[in-house]
Amino acid sequence: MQKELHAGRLSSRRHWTNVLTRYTVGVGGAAVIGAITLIFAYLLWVVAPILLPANIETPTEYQLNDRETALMDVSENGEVMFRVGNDGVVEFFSIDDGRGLAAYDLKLNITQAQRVSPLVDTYALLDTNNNLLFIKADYIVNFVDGQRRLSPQLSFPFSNRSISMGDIEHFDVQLADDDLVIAGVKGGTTGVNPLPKYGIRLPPLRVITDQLDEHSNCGTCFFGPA
Amino acid sequence: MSTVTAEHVFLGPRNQWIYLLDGEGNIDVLSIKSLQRVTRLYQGSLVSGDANITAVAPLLGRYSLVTGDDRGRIVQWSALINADETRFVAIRSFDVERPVVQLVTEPRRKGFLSLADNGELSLLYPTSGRLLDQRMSDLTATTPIAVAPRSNLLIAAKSDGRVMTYGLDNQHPEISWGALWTKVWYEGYDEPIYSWQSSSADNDFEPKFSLAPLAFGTIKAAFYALLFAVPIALMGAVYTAYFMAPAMRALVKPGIEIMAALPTVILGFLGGLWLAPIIEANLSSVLSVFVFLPVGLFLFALAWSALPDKWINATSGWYGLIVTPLILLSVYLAFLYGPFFETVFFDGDSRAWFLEVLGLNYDQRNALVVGIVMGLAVIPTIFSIAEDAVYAVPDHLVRGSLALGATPWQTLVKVVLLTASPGIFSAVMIGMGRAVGETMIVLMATGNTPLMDFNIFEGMRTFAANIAVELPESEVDSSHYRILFLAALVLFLFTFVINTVAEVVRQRLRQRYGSL
Repeated sequence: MQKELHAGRLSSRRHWTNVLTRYTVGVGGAAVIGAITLIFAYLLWVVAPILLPANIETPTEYQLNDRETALMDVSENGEVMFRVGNDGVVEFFSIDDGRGLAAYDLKLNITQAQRVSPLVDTYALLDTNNNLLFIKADYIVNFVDGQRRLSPQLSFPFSNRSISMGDIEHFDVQLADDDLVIAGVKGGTTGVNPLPKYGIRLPPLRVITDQLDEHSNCGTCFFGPA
Repeated sequence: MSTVTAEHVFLGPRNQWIYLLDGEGNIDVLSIKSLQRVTRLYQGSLVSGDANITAVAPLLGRYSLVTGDDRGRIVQWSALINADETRFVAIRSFDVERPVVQLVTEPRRKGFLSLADNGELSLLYPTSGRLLDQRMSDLTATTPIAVAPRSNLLIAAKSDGRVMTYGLDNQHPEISWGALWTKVWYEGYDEPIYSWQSSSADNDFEPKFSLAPLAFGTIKAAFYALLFAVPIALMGAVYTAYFMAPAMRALVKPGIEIMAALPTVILGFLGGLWLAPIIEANLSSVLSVFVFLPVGLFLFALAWSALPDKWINATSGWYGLIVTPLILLSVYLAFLYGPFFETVFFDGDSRAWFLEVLGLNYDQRNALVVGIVMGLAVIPTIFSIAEDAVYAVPDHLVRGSLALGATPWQTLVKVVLLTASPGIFSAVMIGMGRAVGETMIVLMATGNTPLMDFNIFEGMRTFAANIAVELPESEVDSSHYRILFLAALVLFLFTFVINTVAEVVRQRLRQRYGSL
């Protein structure tokens, strides 16, 4: 009788040990599979955006001052629009609602305008007299009563004087490796004006046409304004 | 020298060139690197067929120009400069079907937008060759258009004072299946190539995100490691389980298993900084080892078999101990006579000989170093599992075979190895999994050059090493960051598929030979 009782107890203990072991191993196995699935899902979740298509979204429209535009641009964080009018008026607008933030009148008739570098908000403006002026859009951030406030301003990075480009029809200007170079063309004639050491005031223009003709057989190249 | 009658002028990369284009698509590229010596780099035409170029713009960095014509074709032209000549070639094209009237480039990326004569805006990216999206607009050829620095906004000013702002949801334009897995013609290159070069000191750099060199490097490293490890580990396992004296087995097996505990960073460190220079300085000696060792062992075995049976039987099971000095002697002789072989077979300079005769370049950290060092890391894994599998072959099978007159060698090949084949196969596949996922050794001993070259003397870059090197430096959520995760996903799937196939094969082997 006692033996049977002992055997029954043992059997019951074995039964529960078996059940416990079975569930523990089952849960462990399922956890491993779950962990691998989770790792896979996480990797896929991070990777998924590169598979999504690009989209040009529906446009938002603002009515600004009726003015012919020579150049448009946007501030670094996409908060402020920058517009240079053909009449020399430079304006800053809020992108959110088209509200005017600042305006400057350069009193120039702009024919061509362009940004000089992808990295700095500096622009070259060519007027009807073929004078080139460099302007810079500065976006000053202030915190007033804990509120972030962006104040766009216009400055002249090199000089507020224009440079005479001579007789040109098209131009390009690029700031690269701290060197600013201006190129102008008219017909088959090309001019290049290097202005090294970005950050100092513009040096006097150097006419080196004669040297070039002598050394390079580039009969139609001239350097500096005619 | 006369130039074209320019209607467009663009300064080139770093202000060292100048592009001049006339209205008929003729181009002059002049070098203005030295203002005292202006030279023409290239003169030619950007027009194909009878189309007229209607828009042109330089891409970021100005190594490339994109042109749009009145047939709706947009072409990327890139200057290819080498010592002999400069060419300006069309490296890819897009078709937007309608005449292009304006091209607007992204300020910080190589992407651009085209505007067709019917107002259709197309968002394009050259590297991936993708036409990303199109949308109709009421913009015209004369509308000033600009893209925001972060390429998330396009603004356009109409002549009546209206300003249109288009949101651009375009975070990963440089990625496509083709850019990841096929050859891509990057600007400045002579031809399409596979390349991984995720970053540079330049802001105008074109990232190269081909995963093909990384997949290739992963397979190459695993291949050479297994080439070194599998024969040694399997033969060692078979010998230890089947022929070795139990007393010696009790020492050898745990000894080799302890090797698995060696931190791979130490193995990688030793491989990259200690072994690689030794192999480089003694290449012919190292290669001689692969001749001296088998020849020496073969001659020794031949001589040993001539000894009286009494001696052979007395040392049975202890051959491993006996051949150890022979192995050391063979390696010593290989290093002793290496310079002699270098003079006789390699004209006194083995590395120069490989380069000149076989065209094999030699890098100090290469697949040979990785094969040896990672092989050493993989050997314990393969050895241990395979040895267990061979040792677990039921004794009655072996005795039955021997009783039926088979020799020990026949019993080994026809009975033991077949019965143990599922376990041996598992051992090799687990070793392969280890080799594919190994990080520190390949990181420190390969040079991490993402090349597509199976040359054993060249380095490689593997998925795992690439992730370890670049993930800490990558900008979170950037294309680079996500591609590194994609590399991890590919590695994950790669090992998953390999292990699944291995398990299926193992089950089949077990079914076939389990009844023996």
